[in-house]
Amino acid sequence: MCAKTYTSRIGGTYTVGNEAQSEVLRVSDLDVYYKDRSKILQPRTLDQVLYDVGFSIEPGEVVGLCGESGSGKSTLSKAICGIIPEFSGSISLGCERPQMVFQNPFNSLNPVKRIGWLLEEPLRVDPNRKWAQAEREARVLEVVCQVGLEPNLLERYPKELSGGQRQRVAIAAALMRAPRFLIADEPVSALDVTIQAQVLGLLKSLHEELGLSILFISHDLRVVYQVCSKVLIMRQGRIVEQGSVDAVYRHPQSEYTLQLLTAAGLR
Amino acid sequence: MKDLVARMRARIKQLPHPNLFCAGALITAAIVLMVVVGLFYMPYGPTVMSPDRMQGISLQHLMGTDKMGRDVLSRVMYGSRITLLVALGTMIIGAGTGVLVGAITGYYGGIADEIVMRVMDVLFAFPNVLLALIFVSLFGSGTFKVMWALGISFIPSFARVVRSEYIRCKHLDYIKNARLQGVGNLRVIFVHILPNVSGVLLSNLLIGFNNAVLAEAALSFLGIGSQPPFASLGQMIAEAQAIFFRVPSAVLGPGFVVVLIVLGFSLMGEGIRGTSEGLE
Repeated sequence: MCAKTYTSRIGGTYTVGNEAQSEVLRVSDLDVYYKDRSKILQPRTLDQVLYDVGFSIEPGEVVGLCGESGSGKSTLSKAICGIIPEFSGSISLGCERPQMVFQNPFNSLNPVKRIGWLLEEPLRVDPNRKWAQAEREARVLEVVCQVGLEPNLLERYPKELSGGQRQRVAIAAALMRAPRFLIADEPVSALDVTIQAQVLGLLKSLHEELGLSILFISHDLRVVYQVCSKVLIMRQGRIVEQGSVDAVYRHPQSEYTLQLLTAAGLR
Repeated sequence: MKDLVARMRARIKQLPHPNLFCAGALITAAIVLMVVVGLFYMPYGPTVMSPDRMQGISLQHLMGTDKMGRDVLSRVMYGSRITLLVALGTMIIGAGTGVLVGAITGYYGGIADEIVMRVMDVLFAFPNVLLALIFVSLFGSGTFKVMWALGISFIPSFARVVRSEYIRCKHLDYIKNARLQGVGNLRVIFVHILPNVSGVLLSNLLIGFNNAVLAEAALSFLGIGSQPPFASLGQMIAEAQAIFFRVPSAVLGPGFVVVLIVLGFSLMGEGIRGTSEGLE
């Protein structure tokens, strides 16, 4: 796999598959802008939404990304996936583009396709190799077992599954091409508490078995404490604090982190 | 075979109004049967004249005869073939192009979308029949020219519906997810989104088919479209209206068939309306 670099219009660089770096993800000096879409036929202005974001994720690390609504968590995840056109600074991935697990499993699976079809799709469009039908089916079975689903679900449609099962399917779909890096955008906040624990347990065990690096986005500091080793706290487009979970939770440096911890009942 | 029937039955039961759908399907099946039988057997030739002019309903002529002594039933069988064929062709041209235009403009958006949709709005502002009349006056009349004219005039209605569905769908998580998995744009458009649009598309197709049948009948009534002596339903009604009070069967026969065709498709459309996820 050779490194590919894309350059944004305002000078940001986005690199995929950079094997020279040891980290899975390195983000430095990242500023992200959104176009102002309200103006037609006028020069478009840019609204800055992320300011000077910098952090890195080592192989096999689970990093929590916390912050209130509108703090830029989802924007950051989009930028890491390479789907934001206007940014400056650099994003460098030591692996393929990350796969994503979305918040609401009721929206993230195509309702007219069978589960088996949905799971095979990432293999059908795999840019790196061609998968034969039998290989695809074998791989689907393998991953389905990894995420703890019954193979007889493959013939069903998403609407016939429960929320927890759907989220497992979404995780399975993200794992199909054996990525090294996964972004989970609030993967449990739409699920009820017992199912939350199961899905978190699954993510944890996948991390341990496959050595997966995960960027775990959540507004829930308790959940982050359970699964992450490192945490980033974001506020108004800036990272206000980062460090190991223990250090940040015991000795928060910023006022905002302290507020969040108090609000979560952890202080 | 048994399995297939059982699955069909299960699917029909899931529809919002299975009874309406079945009634519509029965009527449509009867019409199609009549047309198919007409391919192999008609009681008399559709253009064969006989001395029995302007007969009422009898066992020899189930729908009577017209003012040239032609058997109305035979002409109806032939004419509904033409009408259905034109409506089908209209749908293939109109819906096919409309879906393509709507899908691409809705998915990509941007300035091209604006331009294409404003052109569509202009086309949409004219009634279908009027637009078809313009085409016919430019390119001449005839069965297949009418089909093209109607087909083109049906493009905007499909393009608009499909475009708005695509705009709704492209922001959904499962489409974003597919893009992140590396699915190409065309594959997203036709494999991932199109089946989600099929429910809306299908009921629009049925309504559109009705409009095409009516538009074809209207154009034939006005004397463009299928040319005499070959029959089309609208043209038969137009020819027979002069003798309406002497031989009502010559008008009512073809009129009744037009009503049945439209009713059948309307009922089917009504039966599936509201299925958002289409007929999987």
